[in-house]
Amino acid sequence: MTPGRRAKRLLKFYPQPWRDRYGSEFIDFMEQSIDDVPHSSKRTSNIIYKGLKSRAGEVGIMGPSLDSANASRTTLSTSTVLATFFTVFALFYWSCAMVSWNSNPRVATSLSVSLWMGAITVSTMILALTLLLIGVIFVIHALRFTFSKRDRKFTWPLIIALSSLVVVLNAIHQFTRLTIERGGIQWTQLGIGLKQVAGATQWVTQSLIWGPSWAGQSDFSQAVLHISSTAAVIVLALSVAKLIRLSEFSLAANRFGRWTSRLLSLGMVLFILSYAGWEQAGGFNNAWIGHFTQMQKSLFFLIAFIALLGLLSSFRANKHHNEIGTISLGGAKK
Amino acid sequence: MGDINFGVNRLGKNPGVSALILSSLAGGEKHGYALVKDVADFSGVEIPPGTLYEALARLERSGLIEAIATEDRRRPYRLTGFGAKALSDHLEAQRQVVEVGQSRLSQGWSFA
Repeated sequence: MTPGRRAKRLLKFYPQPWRDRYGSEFIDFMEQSIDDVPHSSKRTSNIIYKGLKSRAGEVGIMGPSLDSANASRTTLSTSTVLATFFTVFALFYWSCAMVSWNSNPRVATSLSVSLWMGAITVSTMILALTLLLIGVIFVIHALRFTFSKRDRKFTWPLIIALSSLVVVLNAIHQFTRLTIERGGIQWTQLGIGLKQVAGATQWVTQSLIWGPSWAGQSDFSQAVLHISSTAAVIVLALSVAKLIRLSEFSLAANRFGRWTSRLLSLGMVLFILSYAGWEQAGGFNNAWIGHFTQMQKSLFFLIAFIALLGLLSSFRANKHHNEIGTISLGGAKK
Repeated sequence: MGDINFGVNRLGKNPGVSALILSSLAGGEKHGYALVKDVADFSGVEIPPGTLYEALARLERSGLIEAIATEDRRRPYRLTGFGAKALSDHLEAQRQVVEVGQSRLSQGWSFA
């Protein structure tokens, strides 16, 4: 393989904005370097590591982005993807807690369990409503931009986002058929209605989380539904993130982006802490359903990791922004 | 002590590599590969490509160096006035550390 081709292969480890800025000089550098020292594992591993680090920086998780002027939209798009995955799990865990809360009429539920249940509900609602708000704002913005300015940059992400939304809504309809056939949610009795919402949410979210693994045991149409609904949630999150990254942010939108991504990460952390508090207070003890399985516990650690990435994304971007600002101000004083 | 921190902080993360790059550019503008060769000549340190471009991006973002516009693939970089001051502060801080370290070693240590 020629040095030029090897250089181009190594360049692919870097994100697009980095390749646009440094690509041609990097290839020139590598051609000379490969001419001098044809093979070096240390050089290759250094490029792979720094390239992946640069990619993490571009999505706002680790280190600064080359596109630091648009740090808040990068952070918001990353937080949206992370929070969407987190919220699917959060809704599942919330529904498990809500179904078991106060479910044994012979044993009174303690005040601490009820308070933790309230905190779980509030944090889950914060996440779900914030994501809904983000989705609505950016889909409407993209629709307006596409039709009024006839700019096609939003067209494909918009089509993909709306199509995946239809698939997700259809999946929710299919998974809640049992509830619908039984007469739907009894809103007139709030306690029963809440339990029914929790039961339907549990069925939908567990289908989204474990659905693809059930596909082999189901008939063809069920298998398609299970796989497509999980894929649609992932595609929906990614396409909304793409819409965010394609949008031009005003100063007010930058502020909105920063605060919304912080709200999402704080919602995730609040959920983790509330759930841990609920379980410690004996949330499962008086319930008719059993404790978490090992798999459910493992997934809980996974979402704790997602929450950590969300925190890194929303607060690190701000830290790097401040660092650069401090350096510039130091220079101005001199 | 405050001056030492100030000198190091202005070079950002990984001040050692930054100081080597700025010292090389203090001798005149250079493109990436010439810069690495020059650093290896005067310090014996081989800066790997990933580390070099990470540092160049950081220094450029901080205004310590600037890329010179060119049609050629080999884009040269040069030191800015702010970069020269930051390097000078950093080297002065390092000089103080070297002097204190050498003086203390000469008083209490024997290498025989």
